[in-house]
Amino acid sequence: MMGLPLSKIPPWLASPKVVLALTTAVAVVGALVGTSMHHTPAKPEYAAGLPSDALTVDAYDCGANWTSAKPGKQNLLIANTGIQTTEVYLVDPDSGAIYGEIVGLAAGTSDQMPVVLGAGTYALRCWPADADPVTGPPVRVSASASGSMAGATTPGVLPVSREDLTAPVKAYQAYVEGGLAQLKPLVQKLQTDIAAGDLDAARTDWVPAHQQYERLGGAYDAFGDLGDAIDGLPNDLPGGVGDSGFGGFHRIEYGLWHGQSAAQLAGPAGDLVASVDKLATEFPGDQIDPLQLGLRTHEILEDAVRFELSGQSDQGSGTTLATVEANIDGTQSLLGILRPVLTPRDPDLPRIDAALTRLRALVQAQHHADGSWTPLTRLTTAQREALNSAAGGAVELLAPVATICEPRLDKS
Amino acid sequence: MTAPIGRRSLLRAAGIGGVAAAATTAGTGLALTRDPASAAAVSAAAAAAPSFHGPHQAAVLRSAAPATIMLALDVTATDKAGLTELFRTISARAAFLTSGGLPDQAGVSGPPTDSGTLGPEVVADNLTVTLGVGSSLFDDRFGLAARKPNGLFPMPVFPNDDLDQAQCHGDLSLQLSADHSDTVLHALRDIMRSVRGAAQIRWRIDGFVSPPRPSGTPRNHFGFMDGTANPDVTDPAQMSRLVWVDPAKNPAWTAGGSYLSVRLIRMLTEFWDRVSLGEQENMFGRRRGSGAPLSGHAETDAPDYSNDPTGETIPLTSHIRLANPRSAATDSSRILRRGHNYDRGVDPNGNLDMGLIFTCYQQDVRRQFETVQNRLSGEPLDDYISPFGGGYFLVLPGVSSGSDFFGSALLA
Ligand code: HEM
Repeated sequence: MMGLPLSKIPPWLASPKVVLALTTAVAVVGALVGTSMHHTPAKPEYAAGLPSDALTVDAYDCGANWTSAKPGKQNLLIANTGIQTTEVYLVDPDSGAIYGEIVGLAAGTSDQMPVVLGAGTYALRCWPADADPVTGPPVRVSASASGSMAGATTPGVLPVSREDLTAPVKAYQAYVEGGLAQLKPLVQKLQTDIAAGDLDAARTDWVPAHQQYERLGGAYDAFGDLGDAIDGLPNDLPGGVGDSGFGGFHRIEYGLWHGQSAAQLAGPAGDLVASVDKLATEFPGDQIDPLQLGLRTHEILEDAVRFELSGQSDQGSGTTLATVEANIDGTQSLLGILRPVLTPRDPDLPRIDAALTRLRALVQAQHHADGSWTPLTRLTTAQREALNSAAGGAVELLAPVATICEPRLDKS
Repeated sequence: MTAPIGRRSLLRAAGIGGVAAAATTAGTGLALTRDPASAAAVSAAAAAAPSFHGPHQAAVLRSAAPATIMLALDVTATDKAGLTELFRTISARAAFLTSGGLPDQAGVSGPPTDSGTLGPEVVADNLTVTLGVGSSLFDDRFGLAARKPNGLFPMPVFPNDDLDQAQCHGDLSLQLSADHSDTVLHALRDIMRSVRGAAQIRWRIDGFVSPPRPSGTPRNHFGFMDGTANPDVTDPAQMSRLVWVDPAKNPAWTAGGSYLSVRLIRMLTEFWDRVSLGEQENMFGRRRGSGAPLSGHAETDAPDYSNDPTGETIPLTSHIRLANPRSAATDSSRILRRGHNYDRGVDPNGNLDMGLIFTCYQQDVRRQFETVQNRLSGEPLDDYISPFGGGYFLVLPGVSSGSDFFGSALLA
């Protein structure tokens, strides 16, 4: 698919995603090897209604009754017979790669873990609240399934720890801080243009200022109320574009492209400068949850698909594609920051890169020598389909980044 | 609204009712023969979906399913390798979805591979996935120009049409049909997700077939049984004469395929409901209650034109008489119709947007659909219907096995 993501998205077509090759097992069956480390105290009675055929887990035992497994598609039924909530993972006991998880399996409850097992060694690993992790006996699966139970073997992914994300979080923080420092003079210039009554200059300067903000990855509420003050849309305001609560870049855009006077825009321009200053001051003190990094990496473009490529955010400038270009910049910056974490874990990284390159080329084809951008409404059906499709292909590939980069099997 | 006055007064005099009218015609000594075409349609209705793999696509000879989604896609992959991967992916997804089972599992390597809207295990629900190609696929993008069959060309504008180009044509047609709407919607999401980046939906319309009321062929929005008279799908000789492409006149890669005409036709139900029953029945040439031709008394009776040269009984301008004069000379223009009702909200005037997704399969679009459409031109029914979209496609030969894929011969 032109270096495109297609084969990634349908895992049944994708190259095996297993990060560490599974050792080909010799024989199946009864593989209760090793793990005599855990003691077996008297077990509590089954909670009423717990299925009796389930693999059982508690504080000391993690699927000790799992002794053999068949290859292929299946649902592992897991019951927590202990008294504590526990995370349950299906792992490769040698490499630590994770195949499946049940988050927060409460005491006395059960759930299914759907998985496609291939040839290799598997074990359950439990991490109860306030206790150390316990790994169950290794279970070997040989050969692979056939017929309707065959499928693409569920890929194993090496867990990401919070520590793995410390350096990326710092790098992201520096990226946003640096970006905000660049944004400040751009919004000040916009304010100066408006104060001087030079609305032509304001229209020209609005675009790079807005792009600089859109590069920072402020999608989906990442910057909270200040994000709304800087880049909010009028859609949820009772008075729409005339609402007194409508401010920020899009408020100024509306005025600049709807014949409003400099005097009408002076207030919003001042407010924008103040909001950007405030964000630049407050942001360095904010804690960034490491979980956010993976989420933002895919949400920036999700946001572009929803609000930009739909035409929803445009308040008259017709520069939607300039915004999308900035969103691609932001996505690529975050990907760059996460690359050390992703490289050993996401074999589709080259496809992500290719998808973003393709999207960027389509966007830049609409950026003209005089600096102008083709408005969405002037694109042909084929051009718009190509853009939407490239963006759709990219977000489909970026979605796993968030799942892969979620910190697992570590509690700090 | 040009039904002959004389005919209308005759009906009124006879008393409007199937039995009275049937008695009148029976009294004239017309022979009442069972219509082999309608008998075939009724018996095929009970048939379950055949397997996905085979020389022909499964849905062609299958009666219209209770739920359908008709899509036109434009290919956004930019070369032949990308198109091949697109066809392979659709084939693989179709093979899985039409047989059902447990989906593949991403584990922690990405979001769930399946939307879960059919529960943890995908049910087949008699799903069929039918892929066709439009003439635009044979432009210079994929190097297929030399392979375009002569019989594949863009749908023209017919008299009484009001075509919206955004709802016409497309590189591909994709029809998903099953017993329930959740199944087709599930298949739609699954397939579109798997081809994201390679194809984009150009237009979409959802349709349904009602249950028989009270028996016989299901009814359309005008209250008439629709789908009664069709070629006999159990007769291979008829099918190779009327439905499957003629190998002598088409490129070898088309063998096993069939030409598909899609017409999206709004039915002006408010206006229709202000028309007298007699006039309604004259427009079709059939009884509304029983579905019988005006020359008979049961739905499955064959209309008799030979004893009715002036249209005393079945008006010469009636839909069924124009569509199929049942003469030796017009026999080769017969089509295999597979219509679905659609219902999609309200137009700007506050009138209901309801109508027919007219689809028909045939060996040759000019010889069949277009000939029938031209005969229907100017029919009284025209005042109550408004065609607004659709297109011509070649429904590809079937996928022969798990290692084959849609269009393999075309792309070889
Ligand atoms: C909204 C538009 C239409 C409506 C409401 C409609 C309705 C009907 C009805 C009620 C019948 C009689 C029952 C039956 O045999 O199925 C019929 C028959 C038929 N219609 Fe249509 N139809 C429409 C459009 C078309 C179009 C566009 C064509 C083809 C160009 C077509 C071709 C036929 C044919 C070939 C028959 C069977 C005639 C026979 O063999 O006796 N119809 N239609």
